[in-house]
Amino acid sequence: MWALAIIANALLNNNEVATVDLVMFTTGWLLRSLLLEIKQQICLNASIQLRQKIRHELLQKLLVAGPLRRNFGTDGELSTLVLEKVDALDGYISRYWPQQILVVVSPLLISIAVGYHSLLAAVIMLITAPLVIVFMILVGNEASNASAKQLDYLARMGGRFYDVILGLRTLRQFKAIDLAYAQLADAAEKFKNSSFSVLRMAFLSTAVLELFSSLAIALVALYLGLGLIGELPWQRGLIPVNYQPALFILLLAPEFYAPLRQLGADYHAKAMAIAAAADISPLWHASSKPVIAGVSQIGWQPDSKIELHEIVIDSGQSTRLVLPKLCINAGEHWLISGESGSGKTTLLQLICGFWPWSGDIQIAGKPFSSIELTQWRRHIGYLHQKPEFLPGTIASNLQLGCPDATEEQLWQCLAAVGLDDFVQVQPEKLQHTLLDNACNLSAGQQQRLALARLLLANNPIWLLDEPWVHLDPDNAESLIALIKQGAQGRTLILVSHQTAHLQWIDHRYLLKAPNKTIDVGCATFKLEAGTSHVQ
Amino acid sequence: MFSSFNLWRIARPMWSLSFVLGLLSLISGIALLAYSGWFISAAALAGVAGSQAGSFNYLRPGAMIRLLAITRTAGRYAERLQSHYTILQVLKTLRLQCFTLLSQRFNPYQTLRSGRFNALQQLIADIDILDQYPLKLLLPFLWAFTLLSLAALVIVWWQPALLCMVVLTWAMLMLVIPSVQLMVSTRVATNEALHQSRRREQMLEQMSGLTSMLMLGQSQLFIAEFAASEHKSAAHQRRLQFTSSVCAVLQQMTLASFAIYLLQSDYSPVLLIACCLAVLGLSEVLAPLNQAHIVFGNYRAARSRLTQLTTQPVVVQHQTDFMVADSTTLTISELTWTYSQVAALSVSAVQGELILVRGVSGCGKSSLFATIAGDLPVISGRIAVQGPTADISWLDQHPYIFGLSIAANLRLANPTATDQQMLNVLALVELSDWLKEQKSGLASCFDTDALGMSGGELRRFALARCLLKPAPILLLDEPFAGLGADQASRILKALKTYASHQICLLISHQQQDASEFSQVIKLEHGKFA
Repeated sequence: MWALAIIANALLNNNEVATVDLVMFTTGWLLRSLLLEIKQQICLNASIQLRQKIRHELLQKLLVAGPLRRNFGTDGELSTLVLEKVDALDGYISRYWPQQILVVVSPLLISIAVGYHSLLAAVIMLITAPLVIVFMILVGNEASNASAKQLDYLARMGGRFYDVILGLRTLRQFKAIDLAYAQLADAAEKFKNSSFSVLRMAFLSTAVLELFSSLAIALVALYLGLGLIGELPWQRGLIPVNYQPALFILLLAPEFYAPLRQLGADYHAKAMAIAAAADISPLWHASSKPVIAGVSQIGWQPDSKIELHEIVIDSGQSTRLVLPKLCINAGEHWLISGESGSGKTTLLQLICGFWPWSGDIQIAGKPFSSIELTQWRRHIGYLHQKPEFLPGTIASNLQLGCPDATEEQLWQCLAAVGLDDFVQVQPEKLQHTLLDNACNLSAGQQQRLALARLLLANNPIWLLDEPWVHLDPDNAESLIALIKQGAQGRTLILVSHQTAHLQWIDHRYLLKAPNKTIDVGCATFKLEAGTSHVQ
Repeated sequence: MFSSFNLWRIARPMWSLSFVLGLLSLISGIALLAYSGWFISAAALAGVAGSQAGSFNYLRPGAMIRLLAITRTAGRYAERLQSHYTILQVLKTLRLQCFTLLSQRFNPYQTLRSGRFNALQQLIADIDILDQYPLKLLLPFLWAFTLLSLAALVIVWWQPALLCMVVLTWAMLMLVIPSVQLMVSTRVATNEALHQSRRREQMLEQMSGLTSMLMLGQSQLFIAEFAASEHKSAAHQRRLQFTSSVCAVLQQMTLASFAIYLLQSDYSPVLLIACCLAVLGLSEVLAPLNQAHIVFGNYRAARSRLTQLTTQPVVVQHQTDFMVADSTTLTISELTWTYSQVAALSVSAVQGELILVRGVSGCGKSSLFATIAGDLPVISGRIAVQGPTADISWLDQHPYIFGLSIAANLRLANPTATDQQMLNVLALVELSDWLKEQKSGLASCFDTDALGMSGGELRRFALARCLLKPAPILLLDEPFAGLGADQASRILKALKTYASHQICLLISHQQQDASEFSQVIKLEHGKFA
């Protein structure tokens, strides 16, 4: 900038423009843009690294939570959390936060440079800067409230829209599509009209900033210009600032306000980032250490026991499980029954080591809190109500439990559950791809595949959570028969609210519900009916 | 359909106003700088002597500068307001258009997988991207184009000899740099956008198997899968940023070289300086173009996903034979239907009948209901219905409860239902106690008040909603799933009384007492009994 001023001076005086000044100008200009870009690159790198770290942490916490991750939201909400919301933090990290430093440092440097040549000009600029901030704080509070309200409305509108699309089938059945359309249109129109006044407020802080920066430039220009012709009211006939410095100051004036304007432009990014951080916060504050972090290894012998005394599991609002006494010996088959809400699934999850508890639990003589969790879990084979598969082939899913299994063993297990014919018929046989959670198999086949996986892994303890509950009676019956066969010689803990076909289980236990009004249904609602909030 | 042209056309006058306001603001901004420079230089040239001689009128420039400052501010504020208001208008239009498209082409027989929820959330995000696109790229590009061209014209009008240089600079800024940028980088940007959406699918897939992975000791798979896609994403982002930076530097170089060329020439110095300042001020206008490739890439990905909607075939509603009559009858003759595994079905029923449909899974019970309701075509045979209206009330296997109030959900079935009717039907499905527990009764909302219903309670609610609809034919698919045997038979008895003027077909897996039903249809592979 200084070089430019020198050049201008030379021109004005009809002197030769020195090449050196031209070069200085070019270098200065290019250096400026180069440095800005380098700064962008550095900020981006920092942002990428920080986001990767945050994601890694969040994933660890999800791993620890396991099935308890339902408390933080549905799978859809959680994946949005880990992906899109962490990305929303980018605007704050790479733009707003570094800019905050620049907003202080840069104007100070500029005003020092300006002050060297003209105190008054420097004073003009320096005074307007805090004034801007004061005004922005005054106006800004209202403006940011208005912004927040606007974002909130937008989110709710989006949620309504999402809700309606999810239920299109139901709408069509009730011939209510036109009605829904009219309601959507109406809501959108009202929203649009009401947001005008909200927007007016929200942009007021931008307006204030622009006003001050424009006025400051104007004032400085007028002061300097009038000074150059000696027409300043209090200094007639005198030129306080010569041409060269005057032009220099003028050139610097927009730069003085540039960081602040940039900050204002990035304010929206900050608001989004803060909203995202608020959403991430519950999961972020979850524990990343598993409930049990011991080191003792379990050696499961034919005479080992699982002993539970006076167990109470509380979760936030309600008690999930109350268990006075239960003792399971190796090799026994147990049926845990109870009405919905009595904590059957919680009991199984407890034995897998997902819940914190109060009471006394001993596994094979060792206290539960001192064992090594990964090793203990290898002893357990778990079947859910809805089986879980990973994208891949039949073979890869079977081998999850036993990576070194031979093909021979895979076929044996498939035969044991009656799926060998089905797999033989497939063109790729064992490499038959399973789509999206194995939806290309029927429900009955899915559970049988899950059971085959269990057989392959050959765990000594089986925990089964009513795996036939979503199957029709015939399939359910055959699944139970397969389970009876496969559970020979293993410790079996089966949870169910029915007793049909389960007479072969010799040990029974009835779980009593801790209290009638248990909030066990919320997560189920979200699963069945889909989320009605959009993130 | 979702092209840039259409996005502009949806709110043409509003965008045009935005454009004009923004243009005004930008011109004022540049003019402010240039004019101030001219003022100072002219003042310096005139010197003290000039003013005392009265040959330098400083009042008018002063006023002009103040005017420019105000226009810049007012213009910018008005433009922001107008642009965001227009965005809301476009959002409304886009969402309604998508809704219409979806409702016509929605095929319920695409499996209800978790992928579908994901696709719909992606849809919402894509509509938002399209919505922001004119503001992020179209308008800035138009502004840059207009201002550069105006500047070029003014300079050439002032000094025709500069034509060559001006054209060169203009071409560099408006044609060369953007083209290079688009050619090099748009593919990367589009790939990154697609990668993001694929990442989300991957995440969902991995999470759905999370507990199993933990139990089987394979949790490192979870982390490893994800880390790989993160690296790819980071590499993309760095590359895109690099392209932006290169473009920015190139732009500045072009402007600087033009400025230098000017400074070395022999024209009136004061105007020259003003000119120079204007040129340098143009860099602010050109800045948004650096990100053009990223914005364009996102837009292209969103547009291609949304366009897939329009390529799906329109879903046809099939008609069944219907005749108006006082009493209801249903006659099915020699029917075969899609997904059915049985030979032709023949059934006939009169009003007041309660019919049980049984069969192993996969033999086509639910699709029979869908065919009667008209969702699926009849392959051969005939369905004839007689009754007061042609409506059919159908409870399918995946009913959806909206995030509205209890009353609003129920009124979907019958917009004129009274409170008493709603209470009656809820009592029938034994949800009266549940209703009493809700704070606002029938006005409690499903999304805001945590109603915490279990799966069985939700199905009963959906059943109640179905019963509220005054249709002569009732099709109930697994209404008692998740209920204990006692509760199911109580509700069945109540249903029989309630539906005495309707024909009710019921699919149920559970062991119902066959004596309650007037007919039992058992569908087996190859034959029916």
